[in-house]
Amino acid sequence: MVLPRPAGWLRLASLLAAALLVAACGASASPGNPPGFGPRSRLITPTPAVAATPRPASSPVGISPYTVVRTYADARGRTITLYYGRAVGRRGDWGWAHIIGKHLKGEWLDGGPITTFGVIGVTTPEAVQEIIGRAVREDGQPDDVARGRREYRLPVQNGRYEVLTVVGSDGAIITAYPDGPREVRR
Amino acid sequence: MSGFRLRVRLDPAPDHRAQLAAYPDDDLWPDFAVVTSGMIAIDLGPHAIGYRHGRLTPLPAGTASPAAWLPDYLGGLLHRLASAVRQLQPGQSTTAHLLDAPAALTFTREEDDQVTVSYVSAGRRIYTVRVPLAEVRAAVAGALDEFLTALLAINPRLAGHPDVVALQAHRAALAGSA
Repeated sequence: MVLPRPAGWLRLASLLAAALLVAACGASASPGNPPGFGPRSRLITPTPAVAATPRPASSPVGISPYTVVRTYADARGRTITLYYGRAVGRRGDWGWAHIIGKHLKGEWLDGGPITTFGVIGVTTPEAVQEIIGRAVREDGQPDDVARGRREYRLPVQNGRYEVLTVVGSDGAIITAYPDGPREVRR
Repeated sequence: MSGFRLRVRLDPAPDHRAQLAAYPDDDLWPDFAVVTSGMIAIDLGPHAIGYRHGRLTPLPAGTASPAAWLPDYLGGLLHRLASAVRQLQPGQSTTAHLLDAPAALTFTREEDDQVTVSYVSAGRRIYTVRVPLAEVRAAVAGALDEFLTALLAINPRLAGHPDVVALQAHRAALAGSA
């Protein structure tokens, strides 16, 4: 399925729809956004918004890739946004749908190496969101990987693994998955 | 046979290709790296890095097997590769991690301008080759050239995109010193 790129007004409508979804699911009201949250995220609460979570990544029912699933603030107060993104089983997949499909369920469709959150004992979508949030909050010095893109790493299981979260230049989470430690074993 | 060889294939999703074609009237979202997704094939000495069903598979260098093509956010990966090689100082190591896979290329430059290139998967060194620095620079410059040629064929106006400008600068620096 190919999702057409919506115009700016449609993206705004998606955000509003996400806010309504959160409200409909009874999410608690936020006392206010943390420092650094921009105008886009003011439309929703920065607390967990899990309305989009249960839907299978490969669901034939389309969700706008612009739907905000959750927002985080990193150690420097920068807004990190987890969009629904997409998972159609090919290159260019990204965001929450991609993380759930490839890196939680292990839907390996287009080649290359893969790890899934199961190797570190993280087995539910909610737990994945939590550990991504920890990586973003606790890595005070994320690697700068060209033109504002950042890579947050969280050591887990006594350093046997790290949770790696890649964030795009405008703060959108591109992907997240467990990796081996940065220190190369021989 | 070359000791270190890279092949790249720009292969964006149809809607991302449409974004690229419409630039600068449309912005690239969610990120240049995602919109310029594709594949990379890596040869280290006699080996090609290959995977079948997510597991490392021995393949000969130069193979035409689809298993040798690793998917990634190619534009982002090339930033990393170029930076890693350009920053390589004698006696030091740098790493270029794939964006969407637990794998990386590490480069260690010796005093004699030989470079040890290793493919690291999930924290373990899998294959290693020792090649001249000039060969490493040429391999990355060639990959950048392949990528940029394919990208600008979609839309020449992408030459003005800040990421493309940066990648062109990497290519010029690496080719000039190769």
